[in-house]
Amino acid sequence: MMIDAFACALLALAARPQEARPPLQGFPGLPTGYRPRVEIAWNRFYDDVEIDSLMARLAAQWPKLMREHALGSSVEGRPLRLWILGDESSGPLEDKPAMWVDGNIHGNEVQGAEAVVYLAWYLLENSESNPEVAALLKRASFHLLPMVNPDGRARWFKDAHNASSSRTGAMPTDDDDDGRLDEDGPNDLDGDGHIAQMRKHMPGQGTHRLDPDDPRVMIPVPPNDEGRRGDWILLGSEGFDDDGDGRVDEDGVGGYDMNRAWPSMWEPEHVQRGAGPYPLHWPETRAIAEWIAAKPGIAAVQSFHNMGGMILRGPGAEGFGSYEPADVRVYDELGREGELMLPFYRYMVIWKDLYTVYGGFVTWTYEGLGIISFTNELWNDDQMHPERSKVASGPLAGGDKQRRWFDDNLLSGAGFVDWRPVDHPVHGAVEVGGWRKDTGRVPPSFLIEEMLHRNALFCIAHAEAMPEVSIEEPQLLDLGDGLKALDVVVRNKRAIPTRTAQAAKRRIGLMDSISLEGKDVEVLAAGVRGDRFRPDRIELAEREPAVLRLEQGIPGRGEVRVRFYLRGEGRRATIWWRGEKARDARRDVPLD
Amino acid sequence: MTPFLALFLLLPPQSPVPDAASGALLDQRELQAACARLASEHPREATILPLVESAAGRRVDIVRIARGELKPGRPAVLVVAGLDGPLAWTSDVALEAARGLLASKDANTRRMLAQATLYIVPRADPDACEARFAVPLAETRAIARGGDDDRDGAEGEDAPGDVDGDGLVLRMRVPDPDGEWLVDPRDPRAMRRRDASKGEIGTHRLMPEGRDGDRDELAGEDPLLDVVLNRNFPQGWREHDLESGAWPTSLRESRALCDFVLAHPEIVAVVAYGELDNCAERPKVRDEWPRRSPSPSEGIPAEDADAMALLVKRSSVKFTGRSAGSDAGTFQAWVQSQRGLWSFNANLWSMPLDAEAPKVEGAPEPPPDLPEPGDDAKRLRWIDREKESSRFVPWRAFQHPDLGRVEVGGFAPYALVEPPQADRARIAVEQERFLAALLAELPRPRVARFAAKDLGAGLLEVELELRNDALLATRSRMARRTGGVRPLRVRLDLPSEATRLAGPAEAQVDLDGSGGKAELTWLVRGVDAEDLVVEIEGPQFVATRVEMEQAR
Repeated sequence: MMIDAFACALLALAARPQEARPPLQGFPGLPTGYRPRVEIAWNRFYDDVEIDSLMARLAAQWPKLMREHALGSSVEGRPLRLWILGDESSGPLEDKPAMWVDGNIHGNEVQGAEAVVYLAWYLLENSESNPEVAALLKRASFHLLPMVNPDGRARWFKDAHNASSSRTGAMPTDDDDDGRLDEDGPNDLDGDGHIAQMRKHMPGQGTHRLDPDDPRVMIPVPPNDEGRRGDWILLGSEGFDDDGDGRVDEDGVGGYDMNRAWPSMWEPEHVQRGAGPYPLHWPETRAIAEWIAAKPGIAAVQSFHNMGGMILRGPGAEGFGSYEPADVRVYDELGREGELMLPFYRYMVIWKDLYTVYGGFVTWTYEGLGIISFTNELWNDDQMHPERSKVASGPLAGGDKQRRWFDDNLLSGAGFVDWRPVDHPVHGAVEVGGWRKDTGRVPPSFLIEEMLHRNALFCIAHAEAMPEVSIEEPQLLDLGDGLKALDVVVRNKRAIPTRTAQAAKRRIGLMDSISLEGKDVEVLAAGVRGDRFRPDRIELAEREPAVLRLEQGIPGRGEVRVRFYLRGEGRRATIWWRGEKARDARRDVPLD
Repeated sequence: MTPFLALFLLLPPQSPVPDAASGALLDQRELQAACARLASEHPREATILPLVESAAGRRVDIVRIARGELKPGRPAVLVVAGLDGPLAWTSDVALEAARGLLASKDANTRRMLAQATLYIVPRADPDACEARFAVPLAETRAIARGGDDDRDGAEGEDAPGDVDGDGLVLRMRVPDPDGEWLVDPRDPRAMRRRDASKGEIGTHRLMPEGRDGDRDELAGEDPLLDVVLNRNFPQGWREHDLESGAWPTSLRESRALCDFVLAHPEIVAVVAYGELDNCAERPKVRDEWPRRSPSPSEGIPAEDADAMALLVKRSSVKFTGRSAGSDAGTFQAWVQSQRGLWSFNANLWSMPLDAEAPKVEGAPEPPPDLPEPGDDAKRLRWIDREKESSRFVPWRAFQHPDLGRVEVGGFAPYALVEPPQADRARIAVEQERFLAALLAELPRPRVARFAAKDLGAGLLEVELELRNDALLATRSRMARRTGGVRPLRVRLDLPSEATRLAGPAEAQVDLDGSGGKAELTWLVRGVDAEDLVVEIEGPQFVATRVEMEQAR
């Protein structure tokens, strides 16, 4: 009976339902035990309204950490919703350094918006559970603009496009010099929502053949093919001559580039197409410039684009010369760290490693405003088939074949619109087919979340590098006859200086200051010390010794040592460091 | 003469509201009244269009002068005055010239005003120009805050000002063996910069009249306002220069001017009365035009420069001004180098530099080894000769509250940039003549030949020849380079049953000046020759349909 009783007890214990373990707080990137407070599917992209809605959901869930600011309106009247994220319980956000992050300045480069949303989501989900995130949000803020170009995004989602179209904003523009605006854009001949390619069957008269292994693939006929011709002509992208001027698709919606519109090293249309008639011509760009220029606390910038897997910095044009060496060291440190965090991404200089860009956004924020700024080109198609070398010489050699292999084997062929016959007003019977707009420049659904996470964490690393200043315990020396010397060390523990070398050289913004304030305290002389062991090596202030002005600021992970010579009856004084790109630092010091 | 008398002579009477025709300087209120009067006197031709309101709430208006119907493509000339703050007087010139054109009985002038439009911005920078009428009087250019000029942590703490209370903001000179200036031995009133290459030693510091608020032994080195309107345009804009502003068109006036030009593609030419000049001499030419490289800072193609110089010559107006300063960030540079418009820049008056000293009976001859007089000494010679003594305030000792003993004096504000009153009327008449000459030479494309040859079997060879008899090309070479002006568009309009077998569906055409021509050929069938119609359209050309019958 005893045994039976024991067995029953065991059975009863086993039968008792386990108490459900509550989900852990936060969502750090671990796959079990956590449940986010705001569930967002990170395996798809969202149109402009949905992006706004996602950010609004986050703001509603964390109203004390995130608020909306109406930055302005796009050409078509869509709101430019800026989201300011930070913890005001530790002081007003205006007093703290801020990081600007935007995306989707090019309407077709859609994943930039999701990258901004993911960054906000990650910061908020982990704002209470992760001490590093919590600390970051207490000492800094983020200015987040998911869509610089909501018109372009909306059109890319809604209208027929290819992977590269709808890059522009929506201001009607005369691209073909005929006095008419946007009258000859692409035409979706088969109505499938994608602007693909057109080909025409011309047996024995064509320039292309079908690949015998894959008839979807068009192969150019080599010029020396013993006089043999192809059976097909490739006619270019879907469309016809809407305005009857003999040209096809030459004047679609907009036709400009908002990332050629910023003031530093801006060049006009005839030097760089798409630049517009003057910098910041379009309302989206002007609204952003006015905001950033009025926020001197912005100390870091990221502007997401696609694609290519790049961590880009300026200069955008060779003519600028080189960036300041001290700033390049900061760039290099962050860029190299980014390469580790972002496999398949390379840290690059825009003009040297990519191409020349005059008037780019992140070149303006550095060259014009002195802010350490990056553009990440999201998604590298190397990720489709990481071991490229293995296919370089085999049947999958060549970019297009590799892409098709990926499409066939990992997307079940969903990325390619198979050729289908349509009637063309000029060419007659043609076939239309090719890649969908959501292939090539954007990752497939199952690789989106990784891209977003890694880039968000790179942003956080960049934000972590924004200056943080403290004042060490001052040393007071009594020199006799009522004269005292106060040695002060002001330290910046982060990688980015309080004033970049560019800001110092170009006299951008206000200088830092270190001041000594106290009742009945008179500062007779003061200066910046050049040598910690030799007090006579000091660069004395010419005027107003109680307030030392520092054009160079406090270096990244560095310090500035100053000495005040003072006298007076005052028994206490306060040392202040003040600057634009970090919270003010103060330390009270007894003068007894 | 006392400084107070000088001030009296330089300031215009404030009431009653003077007419521009009187030659008086017009303040903002008077200018608006003068514009309104012009519009009321010529209600069918003159219309006031608001352009923008300045930061200080002053209106920038445009006076549109046009006789007859305002069809799209009707060519236009934009005249901009009051663009550089010190040149408030040019507003009167622009208005007077317009008034003269409107009143002209000359048949050609009347015909031109029926075919073309004049847009006149009499005062592009009312905030800076209004300083011309303020007391104390200070020559003013900047209209917006820029930053901390002297990097001392304070902004605008050391602005120029009237320290001695004479109503004028002049210059101060302080004896200083380390100074960069010395007294011109030819004229003790004049200062000139020492020439270190000749071993000259300075004797003075020279600075604007003002307090030394920050005790740095400098005065007037940190004014509150830094940004200058005519440094705030995109071409050659100088980043990080406080005068230039945060970005090109950061000022509402500059942006409004740019937007106006962009919104009016019918503007063929711009006449800017400012500190730049390309009329007195042939405009600078640039020979090398590398493709896709940063836009050059100055110079235009030789063909454009030749046409402009010829037009100035034909106007028989004698331009004598000199460019003062760089064209970086100016409106003139933008319209010329980026928009490619014909850009006539006229600095309507520069004080002459008299080489010879006026002869004074009984005065001793100067020693032969004296160095050549500096420019200021030459200006003083002109002042003496013309008996314009109010333009110079003699140096006088003054106990400065911050700097101790200094001398205050020098050229009176605006003295170097404003012509004598009598000259202003003459200049206005000359500008009326120049504008008439310009209007007469605006491009005039015409169909010189439109003919069809019957090739048989219903096949027609259609030929079109377009010509431009005016001096100015339909697009300057600069515009062709920059794309700032689009070309003429020519289309053969065929009935639906006809077929175009050869020839462009639509041609884009440029016509050089002085008889420049373009020829187009089509091969068509299914249409009778008399039913052929050609359509010509351009931003600066009223759209025209010419029928074959008409052309014959």
